[in-house]
Amino acid sequence: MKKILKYTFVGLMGCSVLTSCLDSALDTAPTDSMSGTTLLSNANSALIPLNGIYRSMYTSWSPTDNTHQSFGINSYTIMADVMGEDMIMDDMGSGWYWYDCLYNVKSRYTSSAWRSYDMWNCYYTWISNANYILAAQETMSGTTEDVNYVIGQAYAIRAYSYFMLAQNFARTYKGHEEDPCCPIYTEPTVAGTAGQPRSTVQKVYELITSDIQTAINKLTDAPAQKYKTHIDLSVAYGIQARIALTMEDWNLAKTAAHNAIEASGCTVLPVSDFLGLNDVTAANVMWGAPIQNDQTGMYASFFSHMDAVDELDVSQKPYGNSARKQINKDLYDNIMLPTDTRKQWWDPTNEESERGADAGYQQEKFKFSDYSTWLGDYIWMRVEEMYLTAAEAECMLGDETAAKNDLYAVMSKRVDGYTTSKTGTALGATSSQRTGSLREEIIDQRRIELWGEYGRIWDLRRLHQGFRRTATQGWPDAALLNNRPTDDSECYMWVLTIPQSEFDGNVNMDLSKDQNPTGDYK
Amino acid sequence: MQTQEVKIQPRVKVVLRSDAEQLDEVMVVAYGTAKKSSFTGSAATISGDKIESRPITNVTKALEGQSTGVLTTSGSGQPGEAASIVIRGYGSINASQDPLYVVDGIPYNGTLSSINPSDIESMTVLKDASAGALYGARGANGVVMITTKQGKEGKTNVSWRSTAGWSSRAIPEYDMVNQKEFVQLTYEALRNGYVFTNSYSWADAEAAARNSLSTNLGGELYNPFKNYTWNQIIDPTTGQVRADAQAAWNENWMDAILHNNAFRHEHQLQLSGGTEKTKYMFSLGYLNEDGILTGTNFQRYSGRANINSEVTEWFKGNMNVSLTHSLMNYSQYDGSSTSNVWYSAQFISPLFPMYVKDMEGNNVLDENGNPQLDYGEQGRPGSYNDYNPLGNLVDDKSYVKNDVASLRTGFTLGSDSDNFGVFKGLKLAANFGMDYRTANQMNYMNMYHGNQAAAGGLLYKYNTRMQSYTFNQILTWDRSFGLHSFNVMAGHEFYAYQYEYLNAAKSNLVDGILELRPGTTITSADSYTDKYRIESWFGRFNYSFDEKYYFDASIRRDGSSRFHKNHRWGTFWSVGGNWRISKEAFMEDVKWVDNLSVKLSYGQQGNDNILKSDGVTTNYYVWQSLYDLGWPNGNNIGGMVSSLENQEVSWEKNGNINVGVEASLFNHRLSINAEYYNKKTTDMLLSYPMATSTGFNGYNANVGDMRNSGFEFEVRGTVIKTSDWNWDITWMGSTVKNKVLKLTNESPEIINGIYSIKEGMPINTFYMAKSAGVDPATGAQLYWAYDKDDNGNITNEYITSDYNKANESKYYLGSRIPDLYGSIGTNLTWKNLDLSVLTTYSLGGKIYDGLYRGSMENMYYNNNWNEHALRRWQKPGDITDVPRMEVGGTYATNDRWLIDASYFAIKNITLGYTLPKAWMVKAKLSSIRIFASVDNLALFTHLKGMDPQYNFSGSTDYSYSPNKTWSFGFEVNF
Repeated sequence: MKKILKYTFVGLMGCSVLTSCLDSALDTAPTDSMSGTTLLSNANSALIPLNGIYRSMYTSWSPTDNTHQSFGINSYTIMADVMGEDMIMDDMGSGWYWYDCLYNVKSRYTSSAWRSYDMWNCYYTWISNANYILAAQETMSGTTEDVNYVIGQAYAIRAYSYFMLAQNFARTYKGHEEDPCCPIYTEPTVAGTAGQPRSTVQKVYELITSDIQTAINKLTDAPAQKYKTHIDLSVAYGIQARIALTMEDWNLAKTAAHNAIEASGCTVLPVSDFLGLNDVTAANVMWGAPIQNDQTGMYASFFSHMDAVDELDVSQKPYGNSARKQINKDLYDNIMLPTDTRKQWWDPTNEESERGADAGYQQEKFKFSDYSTWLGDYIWMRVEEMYLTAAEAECMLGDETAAKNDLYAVMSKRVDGYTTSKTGTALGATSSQRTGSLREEIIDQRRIELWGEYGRIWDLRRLHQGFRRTATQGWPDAALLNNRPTDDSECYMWVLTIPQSEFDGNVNMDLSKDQNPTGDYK
Repeated sequence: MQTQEVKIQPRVKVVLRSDAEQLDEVMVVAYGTAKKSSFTGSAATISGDKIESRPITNVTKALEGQSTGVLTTSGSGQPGEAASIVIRGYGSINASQDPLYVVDGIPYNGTLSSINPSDIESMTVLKDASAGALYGARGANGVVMITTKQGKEGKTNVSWRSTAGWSSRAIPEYDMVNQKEFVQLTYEALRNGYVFTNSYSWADAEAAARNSLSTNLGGELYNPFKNYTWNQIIDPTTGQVRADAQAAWNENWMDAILHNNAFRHEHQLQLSGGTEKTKYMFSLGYLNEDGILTGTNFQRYSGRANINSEVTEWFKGNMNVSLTHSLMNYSQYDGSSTSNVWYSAQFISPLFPMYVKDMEGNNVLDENGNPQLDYGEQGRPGSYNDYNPLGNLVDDKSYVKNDVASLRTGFTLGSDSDNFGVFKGLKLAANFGMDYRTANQMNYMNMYHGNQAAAGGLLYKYNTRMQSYTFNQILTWDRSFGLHSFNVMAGHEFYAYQYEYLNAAKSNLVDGILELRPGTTITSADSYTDKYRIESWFGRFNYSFDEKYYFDASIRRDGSSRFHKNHRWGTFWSVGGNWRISKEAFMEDVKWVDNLSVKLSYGQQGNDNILKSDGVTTNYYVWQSLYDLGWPNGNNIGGMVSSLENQEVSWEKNGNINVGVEASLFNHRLSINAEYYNKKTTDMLLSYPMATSTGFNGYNANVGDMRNSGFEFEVRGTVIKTSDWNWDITWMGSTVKNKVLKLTNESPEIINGIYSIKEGMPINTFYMAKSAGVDPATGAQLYWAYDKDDNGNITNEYITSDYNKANESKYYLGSRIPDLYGSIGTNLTWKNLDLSVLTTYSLGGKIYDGLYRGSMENMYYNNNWNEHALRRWQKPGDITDVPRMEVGGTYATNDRWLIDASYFAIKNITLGYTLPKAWMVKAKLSSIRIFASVDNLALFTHLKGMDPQYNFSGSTDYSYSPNKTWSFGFEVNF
């Protein structure tokens, strides 16, 4: 018996040694992720990190809460529109965008649920993801064209992201070149990467212009756009045109816009050919996101906030029904020509608004392609914008004939027999102080054409214009901002505060010295 | 008296020992058992009958008040849901604070709701390093060991136990204003808006407010006061709601969706018995508990078989098997989403009816003459679009079905018998434990109303499979030589965990079929697998001399798959001693001291349970830099960088000192147990802060230090002890002091919303503006504000109404951590009648009650106000502490919402009666006991409605209210 015991002992000890598995048993890896080294090794698999960034441009993820008002590019466009005077919020609804509309977000910089963190985190996430791709530039295998396709887009994404940061976290470029803007990173982030101090507006724009130029150079020698979200040569030119417009570099704005038009092969469409603005295959769309069933944001989506679906017999309505987006009646009644075919983008009957005749006119421009499945493509850049950009640049360069040609390219498809005899570049200190100049006319058409697509406040800022909301425009009392300096384009109302999390992790930034003013001026 | 077995021999000397002498009680500890008297560490044992006496469904809810050093949350009232537990403070910031659960000697990965509380023989809470170091990398937050019942030698005992009970809300609702008051406050909010935002004159503002009541409150259809229209309801001369306004309805939404007598019943059959060699226990259990919220329910079917057998003198085997199936029906919504009734129904405007009304205020009946639920389709204002809380609870469906199988088996070779010569006392054991769980979950959003009506309904199905096993081999040697006793143990263990997740969703479904196949549109399809493994070597050395001096040392070396291979092995250890002073010669004459011992231990434990940034999900791949592939762009695969590589990330270490005194006095009438502990967490797993502009807020690194320390005492006294009467009282108290010692050089403070984690302060210190009352002239909220000099010192304090300034002038305002908490319990028996009462208390600490704030600083016109809003400022000159009414106003978060967290709760009262023995003999039964109990009877807090135990950081949420349960039952043994 003792023997049995002995043998069993030895046997069991043997077992225990066997189960003391190889150390490799302790090497585990996730099944929903993989390492970056593999992905960035060749130009084909490097499309994966690139596509990831694009997906995040129409998905909710950046803030830790309030994600229904943060779903990438279009969510910030709505924000920038409701901050101006042309897109009226009829009511607070569920509260989304209402605090943007009331300029009541800057004090919330300690929270990671609000705009400060949301936008800062969003653009810098795109930048860091782009930097990883750019760091693999030299080692990436593949044909030059294929590598250019990846690297060019990464440069363009970085340029776009810094451009958006500069527009939101500092006052506009012209006149504020030496103001503090945002930190610059061009190397991939690793554990322990030190936070950088705020660079000046000038320095940030230098990086932006050089990045977008590099992107254009690379994309000139690259395959055609493989997917509508991808930044191809025409879109890169389009971004360059936006940047140049903001920097008031009229020559560059003009050529970039023209280059974009030419490279895109897009044509201006009559209003009836792209109703609903929910189809990226339309011939005027340069850049956008096709939305498919399992990638909708449902409530957290562009059309959910815009479309009131009044015409549908459904019980549950999207946010656009309770927080209606309406056009400034002054713009619609007094500035838009009576024969303008774009009038159908809004409904002046005011039938559904609880405020009745006091309300603005309900938007019908942006419609779900299928509300039951939340479908509707997102449009990020249309060729019409390029014509209007070129027209404004030419007007500023004094070439009014060229300006009118480009303006007519759009307006001939909008208003039967449109012409204008306006001339000059004068603009009022606020948008309601009218000058009757040609530039004002171009801007007016831009306000109508790009309503809901460009972000009105970004235009107002580069134009150094203030604005006033009034009840006659259709604004609700709660959002008039009578006591706020919206008429002063130099104030800090529209300059976002930097999130607390930045100061927590950045030795080179000090909350008391480097924060933007939390109030309208200080 | 305890039963004692004595061998027959000449001149037997039988010493009768009283029950109160629990010193030689054997308790379950890490990898074995220990006599309480010899134990050098800190552990509390909770016996099964303490658990059984309470009508709890999830065993975690039985822990409150039963042990010192254990803080618990109330847990949700959803039947089956668990409470959270922390042992001796808050062990970590970014890693889990949860203790390790061990069932029958093996770490448990099933669901805690799958354990039938009636199967539990005892629970042991291991609190210090001496007790827990053998759990190495997983022991730092303490260990809860659950031991199930085993058979006892003798004739088969059959036990049948049934209880039936009725539940209602344990925490009362907040006091909200009534319909007229609501209209009055809404009117004032509108008027104040016109005066202070739009600069109207007072008179113009009043007129404008009267005229805009209608649009904000929902037109005349939603006006319950049919004798006045909205623009007439306010008397312009007084500015008050007209006194003679008559409401046609008053339909509280919460009343319509809560059951006050939710039924709960539970039945348990247990067979146990055995011979000297083989013992067995079988149990079957069934539980069915309705929640107080319509549509919520929990059912559990459980079976267990525990068998152990001594095959020969040197060969023992055991096998415990349990199978549980449970089904939980719940409501899938949380937070401030409309469909979460704890938000919407609880704080909705009192004007909104439950049922559709006509213009006269009468119910609009359907063709069968029944009132119809109001979904607001006729123009209910605000965002509660196409929503009715009752309809929503009935139409939407969510369930989770858990199937849990657990196996604990092992055998031991070797013997303590002298026959084995040099092998005497040497034993080799191998144990294998496995937990297997599949969860089948469904979330359905209905196709008739609400979010998914346009999509034709939306159905999510989840299937997860978890399998974990532990296999260990343990060698022990147990010998005594004279007065010297040794117990030495060495072992090896391998633990593997695998979790597989699968989910899919479709919309546009067929009515009545809750399956994916007929659905037309895929909205989600996802799956992944997680793996986690630990390999360990461990050992323990116990020595005792003359039952007077005890020494204990243990060591464990763990390798965890979470860390890089160069940093995955860690060593954890402890040493402890126990001196029984009462055994010393000089104590022999001190008759009133029955036992007195002091003990001391120190050791290091670990914590590898790092969480992802959501603070809930476990991160199994802490050190790796990864692209998350969950970002497909249309039909193109897409990925985003989700983490930064840090090969050096490793364990969190926990140095733990425990000093204790145990005394039993006056013939065991009084026992005192007091302990002091000091736990220092070092190499704390922190997200090392990085500038958000780098694209990351941090990376995982071992950088911080934190300390938890405190005193714990337990006093147990027998007040009366006669042949008929026995009355004892137990008082437990614990303190916990928490101090963050070190964060990172870059950032000595981590601010997260209202919380600050700052060096030198307790974790999660409230950091917010300080209210300075209300401006009598304008009714504005005033705040304290300050300026700072270049060194960051406060220079100039002043009062302002500027909320931006207030947001920049935050103060540190205490934390949730209580000064003292514990329980007072008593047991009284008189003849066959027994009564036990358990109360718990907590003193000190604060709670930020966001629910209260949400009903005082209303965001929407369809939110109701707390009654305290009636103290509001009304006109210039008013002196009050509640500012003027506003809806959607802007305020700095301030200390008005910090409520004293102290509470006193009557947790349980149980009255039982054991039928007289004489009757039993006649009925051929061994015993019958009938009992009645009430659980969560009363709660006294500083704010009616507030749950002081919602979580450990001191906030509240719109969540399922805990239950109060009255129950009755009987237990028959034969």
